[in-house]
Amino acid sequence: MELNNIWKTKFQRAPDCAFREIEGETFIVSSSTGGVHLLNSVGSFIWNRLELPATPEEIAGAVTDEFDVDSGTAQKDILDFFTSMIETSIVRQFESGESDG
Amino acid sequence: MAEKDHNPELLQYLYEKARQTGHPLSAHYELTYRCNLACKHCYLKGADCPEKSTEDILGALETLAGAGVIFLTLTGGEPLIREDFFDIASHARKLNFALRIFTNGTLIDNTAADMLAGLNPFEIGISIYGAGSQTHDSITGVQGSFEKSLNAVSAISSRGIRTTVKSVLMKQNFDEYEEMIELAGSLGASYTFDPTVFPCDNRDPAPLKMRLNDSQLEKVLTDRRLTKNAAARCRGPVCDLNHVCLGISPSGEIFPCIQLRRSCGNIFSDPVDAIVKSIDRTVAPLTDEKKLELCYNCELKDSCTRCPGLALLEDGSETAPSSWACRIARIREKVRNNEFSR
Repeated sequence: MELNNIWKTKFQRAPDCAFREIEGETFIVSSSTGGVHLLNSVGSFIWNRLELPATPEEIAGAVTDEFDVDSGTAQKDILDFFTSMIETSIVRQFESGESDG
Repeated sequence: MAEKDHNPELLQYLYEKARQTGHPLSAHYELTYRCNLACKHCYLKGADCPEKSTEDILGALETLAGAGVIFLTLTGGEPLIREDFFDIASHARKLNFALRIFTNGTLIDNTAADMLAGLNPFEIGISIYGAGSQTHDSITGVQGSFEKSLNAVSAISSRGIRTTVKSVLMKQNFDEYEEMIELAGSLGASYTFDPTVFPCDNRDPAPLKMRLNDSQLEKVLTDRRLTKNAAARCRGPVCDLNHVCLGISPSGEIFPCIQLRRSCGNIFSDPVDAIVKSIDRTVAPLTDEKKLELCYNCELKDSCTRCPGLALLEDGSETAPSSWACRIARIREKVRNNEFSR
C-alpha cells in the first residue's frame, strides 16, 4: 500500500492480536505471525484508538491534541508507525461495509 | 513507537518488568480434572476437585486480565469436556489473552475446529502418544482415541492455527517417536516431546515404571530434533519460579506452577497482590543457596534441569536433589564428554 493511500485509509487492530497494557507500555502478541511487539506511551495511545476503525490522519489529529508534538512531526511518525504495524500484521485495513464495532 | 519486535529480548524485558512490578504475566488454568481418556502416565490419576461455575470462571478471567496476565493456557483434565468451554475460551479472547489450549483433541470435530479457528488462539497443543492406534490407544486406554486426536491435529492445523503435537516419551512409545515427528510434520504441526514421566499428584509412583531407560534417554537427548532448546532448559538446580506464572486448579487454588502444588491462595477469594506475595514467599527457599547446597556444589549443575515440584513428589522435598534431574544430568554429561573426545 502506498503512503498516500495509507493516510486516508481506515485501520483497526487485527482480530488475532492479544495485548495488555502494563505500566504505560502495551505488549502485543500476534497469533497469526507469532510476533511480539512493545509500544511506548504514544504507541499505546494510538493502539487504544484503534479499537475502532480510524485513519492515520484522524489519529494524527488526536496525537497532536494529546501530546506536545507539532503536526509535521506527528504526520511523519504516524505514517512510519502505521507502515510498521501493517508490515507486522497487527493492524488490518477496515473494509467498507463492515460494522465499526 | 513500536520499540521492539519479534525478539526474545523483548519477552525477557517483559518478564523482568512483571517480576519487578509484581504482575503475573501468564496463567495455566486447569478448568477441570475430568477427562474422557485414562492415560496410564497421567499425574492427575484419581484427582478430584470441585469445579467452578461458568460465571465464576469468567469472573476469574477478568481478574487475571486486570492483573496483567496476557498468556493464558486452558487445560485440564480435558478442558473441552466442559460444556461451557467455548463460552470460557471466547470470553478469554474478548479479554485479549494470548490463548493456548491443551487438549487430547478427541472432542474436536469440524464444527469445534471452526469455532476454535474463530477464536484466533495463539496455539493449540494436542496430545499424541504413538504413531499408530495400537500404541496410542493402549496408553490412553480408549479404543479409537488415536484416530480422533489425529483428525483434530489435521482439522486444527488446516485452519491455519498454530498446532503442536505434544507427547510424553516413555517405554511404550519410544520406538515410534521418529515416526511421530514425521506424522506431526505431515499434518503441518510442530512437535514437542518430554521424557519426564511424573508420579501422580497423590504421590502414587506407578507411572514412573514407564520412564525410558538410560540408553533410550541418551538417544533422545542427542536427537537434535528433540533438543533444539535443551541448552536453554539447562538452567541449573534453581527453577526461576516466581509470581510471573500462575498455576490454577479447577477450584481456583493458585500454585507457583502446575508441577509444584503448594497453595498460595485462591483466585476466587484472595486479592491478586496477596497471591503474588504468597507465591514469592513460598518459592523464596527454592532459590536459597544454603537450602540447595548439595545442588549448588554439584559438578553436574550445568547440565541440570531440576524441577522442584518433581523433587517434592519423588524425593520428598522441593529443595532436595531430584533423582530424575540427576539421572538426566549424568547422561547429558556423558554425551557432552563423548562429543569432546571425538
